[in-house]
Amino acid sequence: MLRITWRLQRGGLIAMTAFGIFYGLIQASAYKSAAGTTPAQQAAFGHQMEVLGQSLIYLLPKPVGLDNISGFLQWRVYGVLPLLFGIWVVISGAGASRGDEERGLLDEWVSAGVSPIRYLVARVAGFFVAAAIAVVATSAAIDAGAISAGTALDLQAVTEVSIALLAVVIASYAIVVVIGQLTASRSATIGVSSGVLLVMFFINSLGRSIDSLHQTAQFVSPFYYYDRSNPLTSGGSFDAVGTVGLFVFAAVLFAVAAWFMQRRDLGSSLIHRRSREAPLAQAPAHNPLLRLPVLSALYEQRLGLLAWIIGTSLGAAYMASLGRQLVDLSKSATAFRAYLTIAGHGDPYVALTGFFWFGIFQLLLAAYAIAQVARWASDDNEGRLEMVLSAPVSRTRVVIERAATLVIGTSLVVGFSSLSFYYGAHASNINVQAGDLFQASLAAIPFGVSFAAVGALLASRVPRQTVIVLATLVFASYIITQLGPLLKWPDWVMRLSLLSLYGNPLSNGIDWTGLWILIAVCVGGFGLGAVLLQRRDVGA
Amino acid sequence: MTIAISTKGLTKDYGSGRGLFDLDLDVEEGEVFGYLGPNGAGKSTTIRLLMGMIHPTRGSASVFGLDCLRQAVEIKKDVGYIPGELPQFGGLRGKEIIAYMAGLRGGVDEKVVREICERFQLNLGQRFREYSRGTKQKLAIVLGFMHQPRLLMLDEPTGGLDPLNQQEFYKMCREAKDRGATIFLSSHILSEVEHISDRVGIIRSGRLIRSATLHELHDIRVHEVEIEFAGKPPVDAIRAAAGVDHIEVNGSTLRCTVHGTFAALMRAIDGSEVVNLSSHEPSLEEVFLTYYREEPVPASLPSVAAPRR
Repeated sequence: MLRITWRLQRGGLIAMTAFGIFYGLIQASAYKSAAGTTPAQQAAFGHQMEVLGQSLIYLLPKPVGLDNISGFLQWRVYGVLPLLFGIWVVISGAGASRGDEERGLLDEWVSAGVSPIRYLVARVAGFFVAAAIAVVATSAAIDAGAISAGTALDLQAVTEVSIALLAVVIASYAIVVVIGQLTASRSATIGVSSGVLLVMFFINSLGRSIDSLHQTAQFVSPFYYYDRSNPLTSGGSFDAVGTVGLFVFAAVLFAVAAWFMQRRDLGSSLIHRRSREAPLAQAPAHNPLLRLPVLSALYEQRLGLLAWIIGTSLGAAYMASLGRQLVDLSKSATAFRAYLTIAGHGDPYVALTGFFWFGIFQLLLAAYAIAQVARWASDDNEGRLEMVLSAPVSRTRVVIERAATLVIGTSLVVGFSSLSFYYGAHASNINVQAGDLFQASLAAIPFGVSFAAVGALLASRVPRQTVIVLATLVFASYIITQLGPLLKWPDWVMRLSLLSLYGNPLSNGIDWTGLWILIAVCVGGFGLGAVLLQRRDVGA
Repeated sequence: MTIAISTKGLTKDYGSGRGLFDLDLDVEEGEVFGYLGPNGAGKSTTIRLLMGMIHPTRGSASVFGLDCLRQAVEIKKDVGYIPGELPQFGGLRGKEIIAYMAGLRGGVDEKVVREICERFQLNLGQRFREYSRGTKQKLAIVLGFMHQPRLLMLDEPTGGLDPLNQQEFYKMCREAKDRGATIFLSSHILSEVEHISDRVGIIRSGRLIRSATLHELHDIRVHEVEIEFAGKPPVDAIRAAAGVDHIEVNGSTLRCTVHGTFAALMRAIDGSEVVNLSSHEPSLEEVFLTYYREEPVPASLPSVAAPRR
């Protein structure tokens, strides 16, 4: 049983561990080039980061003791890791509590004599081991990065912070597993538990500056107890009681989840909502959007698209509001002056704010493209493509409609977030020119679509592996842009990254070569995707 | 009569002996062709090849004279399809799915949709994920029949339907046939095929081993005969009769099996006083099982191409 549950989460473990190692290694090894080599430089850097950190207090712990690598890593890396691990926790927890049930695996095991409780225990034990491996690997990578930067971290402190991280990960997992007993599907578990964990996270984050929430966080947020341990910070400590408390809290929640599971029917939630009789309908819906190509696809994903528009617009406004502070900091800090050069010409406030926002926005657009491509792959795997092709619809039309849907969706996301960025920037007295922003936004559309075009190509050939291959491509593009300038990679290598092809059009104008390459990728990807889809077996 | 479906040497080789091999088959327009075979025999592969969903390893297939791959779009204007595995439409409501598919297809009469829904008491107001297995199948039937196609490709279409709805489905098939539609129905349920088919093809391990009208299939059945004589049974004469086998004698009662016609047996017992005679006509199920025993195909039943009427 343990072996089976282990196999079920092998992919997640590998992905999380790889990401943790990469993230930890990069952050730690880049410290020296960012902070300088002398204690004085590092102290100055720490002071500047503390100023910046006050603006990021809604995301990261209070910035204290950042004048050395150890304190910096405690704040910059271990402060973010609960959120990054949280993504894995939600996906894995939802899979354990609902996903296996939806796929009929739990029915099989129960019919083979395995009790639901035993199944749950095996799943939890499997995750515990996997999480421990991922945490240890990440911490080892952080330590290795620090050694490469010239300072070995205190082993006891690393061990303590790792235990604290494991505790908050397990506690979060327990929360997801309990929520899984109260919801009726895997997707509902993912949605509700993501919301609950984010609320818990932000109650703790906001509690750092709002006293009333600080009290609340003590009772409702496991992140509060994680925050109390900062053994890597100079003068920091490890809150053993809080950490043990998190493990106990998790154990209690697992027991509650087991009890819930015992009481509920397999395949349904513990909370029975009285099923409402759906109004009788025996005619097709009269919604004209459903009958029109492209619009029907947009209608189907309207809620998701709305969430993307709202999320990116809020992000744009937030980044624009931080812009002035970031630029002032960059002007005064030696380590950040390099950003002013990279960000481009003209008004530094516009250039740097745009540089930061569009840097993040590129990743968000890539994520949006991956989400769309995942939908295409599942169309094939779940039989919808076969049903569409049973109508007089050519495979080429399928690809063209996908491309058109994506272009419209991307344009909406880009358009609204750019509007939000524009008004946010002006509210912060950053004089972003509408024409320049329009140009940068326009160039962002082929950028986002290019990822999906590569996805279309993959979905046409290997639909089951598409998402993982495309995510790897985004990851590789990100690595090239992060490591390339540091390691002085040649220009042609930099151009292999779709992220670098976009450039920084808000301040530098459009990089026409890059843009044409992106457009070529879009046309080539969808064109070749159409050819490959024509040649392959549907559902294979 | 024109040919609705024609395949020549149609092969889809998945390796390890799986797939479909050298299928030569003609289905005439207006005919109901039952395609029988156990799981994994190649029924769905055949239908998916005809629908242009998968590519043949070799051979060709055409529908209404059009190539199944190159002219797939043209073909599908006239085809209604019920897949073997139902697609997942998640949170969409039944009426939204119908509207979406009707938008793709065009030419769907709302009255026909209403009529089918009423016949199956299908509520299109519910979300797809709330539907039971049987209700999902009803929705698939609506999608297959709503545009009143010339050809229906039905891959195990009654899976999950209760007997009452199955009867309603057979009725719909007969009505479609009366309208002139051709039906290609794959199934492993013999009674289903017996209900509506004009001709049956039996497929085993990817090969069509028999294609015949229902009447012809009945002719090749093996009858089990029990005869009660007034005196001693004429065993030697019966043993010598052509087509008579497995003779068992118990007092004045004789049991045997008869292949083909009864003429030889009748001649053998001529002159003996028969008190009682019963012949058990095996069901198509038994014929079916005869073909699916893992034995070489009998010499009398060679692998054949579909006979033309």
